[in-house]
Amino acid sequence: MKLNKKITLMVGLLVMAFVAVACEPQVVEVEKEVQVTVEVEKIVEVEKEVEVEKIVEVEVEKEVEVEKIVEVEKIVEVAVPVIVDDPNRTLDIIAVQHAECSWDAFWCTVQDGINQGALDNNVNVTILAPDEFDIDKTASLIEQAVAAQPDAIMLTVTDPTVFADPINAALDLGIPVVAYNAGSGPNEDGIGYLTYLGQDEYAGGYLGGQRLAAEGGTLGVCVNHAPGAVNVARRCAGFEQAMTEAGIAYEELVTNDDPAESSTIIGDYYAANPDADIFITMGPNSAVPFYAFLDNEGLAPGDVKHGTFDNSPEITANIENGTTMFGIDQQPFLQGYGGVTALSLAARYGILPAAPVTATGPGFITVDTLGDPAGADAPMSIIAVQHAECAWDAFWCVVQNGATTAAERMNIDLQILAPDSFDIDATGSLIEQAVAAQPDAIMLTVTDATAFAGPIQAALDAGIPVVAYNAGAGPTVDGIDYLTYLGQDEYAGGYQGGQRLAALGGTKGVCINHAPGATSTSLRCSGFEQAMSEAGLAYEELVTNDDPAESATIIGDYYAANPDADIFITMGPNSAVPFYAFVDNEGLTTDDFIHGTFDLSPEISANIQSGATQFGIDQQPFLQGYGAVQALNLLHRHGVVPALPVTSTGPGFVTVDNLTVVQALAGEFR
Amino acid sequence: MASATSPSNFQKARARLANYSEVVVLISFVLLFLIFTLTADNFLSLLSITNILTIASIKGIFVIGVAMLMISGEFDLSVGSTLAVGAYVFAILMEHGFVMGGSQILPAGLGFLALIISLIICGLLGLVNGLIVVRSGIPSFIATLGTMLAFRGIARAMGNSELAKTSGNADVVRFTGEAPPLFNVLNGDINFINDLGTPAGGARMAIVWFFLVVLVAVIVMRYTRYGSWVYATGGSRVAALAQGVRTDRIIIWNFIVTGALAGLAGVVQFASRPAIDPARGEGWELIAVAACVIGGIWLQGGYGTIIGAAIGMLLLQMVEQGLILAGVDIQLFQATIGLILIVAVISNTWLSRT
Repeated sequence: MKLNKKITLMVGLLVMAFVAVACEPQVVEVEKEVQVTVEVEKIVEVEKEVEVEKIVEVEVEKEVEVEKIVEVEKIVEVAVPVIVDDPNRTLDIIAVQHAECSWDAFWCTVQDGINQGALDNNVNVTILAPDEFDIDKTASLIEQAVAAQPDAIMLTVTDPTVFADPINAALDLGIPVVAYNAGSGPNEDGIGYLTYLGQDEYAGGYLGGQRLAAEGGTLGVCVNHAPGAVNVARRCAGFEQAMTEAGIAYEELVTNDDPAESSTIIGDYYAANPDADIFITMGPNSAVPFYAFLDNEGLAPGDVKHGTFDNSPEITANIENGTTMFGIDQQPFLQGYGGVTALSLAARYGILPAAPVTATGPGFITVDTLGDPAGADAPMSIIAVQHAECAWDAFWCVVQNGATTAAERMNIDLQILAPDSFDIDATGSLIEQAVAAQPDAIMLTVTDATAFAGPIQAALDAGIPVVAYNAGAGPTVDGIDYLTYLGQDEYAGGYQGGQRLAALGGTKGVCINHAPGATSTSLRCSGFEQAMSEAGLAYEELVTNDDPAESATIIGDYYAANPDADIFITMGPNSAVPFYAFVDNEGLTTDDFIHGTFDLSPEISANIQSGATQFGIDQQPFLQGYGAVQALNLLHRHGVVPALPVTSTGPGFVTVDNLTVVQALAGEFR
Repeated sequence: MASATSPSNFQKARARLANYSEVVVLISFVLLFLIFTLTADNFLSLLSITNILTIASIKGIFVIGVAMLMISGEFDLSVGSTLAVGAYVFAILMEHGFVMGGSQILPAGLGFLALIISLIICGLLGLVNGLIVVRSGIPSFIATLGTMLAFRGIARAMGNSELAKTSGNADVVRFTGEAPPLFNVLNGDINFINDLGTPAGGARMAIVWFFLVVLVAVIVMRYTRYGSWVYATGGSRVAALAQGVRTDRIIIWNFIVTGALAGLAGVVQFASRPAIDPARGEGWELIAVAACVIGGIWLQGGYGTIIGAAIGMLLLQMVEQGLILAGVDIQLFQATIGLILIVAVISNTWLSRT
């Protein structure tokens, strides 16, 4: 027995000693918090911005893609996460990925982003990955991460079939989950996680095409060395869309992975099509043969316009010498950083990503952006100029709380400027004064694109980066070259709302629009219509007005004539309240109709609670302030650019599952 | 006198302990269990414990085969590759059936028959290992290093073949239909256990299969002539031969059993995660050896038990789950397992040095 004890003691001491060493906390904890740059799904946003008319074109394409999704699997209901008891405490997040920095250098950038995001969000992140590529081991790591019951989990959906059960185990516990780097979004993957952070390939081709087409051209060519790959096909489709919109002919040229052969193919093509003057390549494997072709033909920089996906030493050299306009980067740093931010906001405030796919790219690398960013520790100042403020408009308290929270966590000197009352001219002057202060960055509301164009251009000319929040339409529509606009994506709100309602069944969808002239409501109805047609349901728009009694009568008359109408979406309290009156008048029960609405109000909340209304759509103003500060921080300190012209902060769906959370945080975070 | 009795007691106790090769792994297991219970949040939760059992069980199924082989003095480094082949055979038969020359020879979704075919093919791979080792006299370490590469090549070829008929996502075969009852039998949730706690547990049928495999192997090794022959073969082959043990046959059968168990592990795994890629099971052969060595099996054979190897596997998985729960970064896992391995071998050697 004595011996037993001795042995026990010895082995125990040994084991304990090294476990103690191994368990030494490796905490990656820091101060700040972050925000998300939520972006919308692909086509919807991109096109939307161009002009309302374009939406029609764009949607057609989107339809093709989305239809596939619908066929394959149904719209997946995103699991509403449980929020933490105390939003100010340090969160524990586990990241599970299929590869890691020690054996795959690409992942070092992702992990840098995760660690910086942890610092900026007051989060502890533990990164788990297999020792070598091993799907099954990765799935087991997810299961084991769930057992740790962290506040949130971020992961790569490398194989949705294998990962579905482990991820669902986390979702069943109310643990918020986002995917990064590998995945296709909750709908295509068939798993109800919050969002996927990765490159938007279609937007990359589209925005790249717009840049190349900006100075005119005759024939645009997508040089594709990997014709079977889905992501590459999406790049060419986006490029084609941009060419079509610019009135430029388009062709796809298929090459292969043999550089010599590929450059011959390009040369032969050029001989047959000497009017080809715009080229986009899919990465080094088609860019390098393209450069060889230029050399062979003796073409100089500027003879043809070229942009490419990805980056490599050759591509960088050609961006520097002016041959190549840009390289398109998926921004792996943002995949890690954005994942942490999205989870932090979801777990703390129930603020959910607006879109199933949150684009981290395209990030355009041009000759202007090749310099080094300021670095994580660089001091930074931001001036925010907005047309209203918390002191006299309560809505703005939430926006400002988002901005100041982000600034505190990221150690940024933030100054908020606003007029004493609504005054466009005074706001414009404030922008001019902000430029004179020469801050590192400016965020502002583009309340009036015409009036503000001059002051904003002055900031851009002074080399000060600018993002817009809450009011604006994106650089393309506003015609001002700021970085991105953070606000609600109205089209996506109508579309996603329509998908949710259609999933409950029904025959005919009606968009009740009390403000038929407004761009925002017509975008909402278009999105809703798209969802109806994808679900094979009939659609009609019903115009009401701001008189509640009259509107209720209009709805009642419509319903008498169209008794098959059973899905209704309203544009806000001004059409929702008449709708509720109509329901009362007709004595309808919740089984007779399916209803969702934009915005929130006491009546809407009560009807969400009672089950009459499925959801209210929130634009998430906290995220507008927080996201604007974060976007500028990422740009200034880390060289990460916003991927899309519109970075959507909404739709944020408020349902019976998260209504209490939203109500509890109203006025401060919601 | 007193000083003389003390070492003799010591020697006696050590000699007594040396009869139980599992003693080191058992003590380590209990100690680590206690340490994790104290240091890692949620370690004692139902989810954590069932996770350890379920994940360890899939590997445990073929660890038992490797343990029998090691006791008979041989290695099998090809188990990971065999597992991949077995899973591919099962996956292809379930998803596509068997098509040759354009005609469907076997329909898809064969279920039990697919399982049997897969196990037989893996058993045959084991037979190949056994014949190479026995007939050529090449050390099994080298022979199965070769077949590890060869079988991995077969798995890759199957992933890339017409049989797999995959499009787009090359090399991965996935089962797309509604999961048949067979999948639940092989590795479905054990709900009456999982529902015992909040959060629900992660117990799967793999635990049952692992337990059955251990049970049968323990009976065979302890109470049958075959078991004694296995020990004899590993202990001293010359002496075993002299006593009429047909050591070649023992070795070949052990390889066959190991191959079939690797196939079973692959099929059980596929039943819960119905997609298979060519890298499946890579590196697992060394985990199996580590589990056996930690469990007290000698590298030169003839000594050790099935129970020890099983506990060794559970211990490795417990360490992984425990370190994750303690918030330790992944890079330290391998270091930890390496340390445990060395401590275990030193302790085992010390114990047996009577």
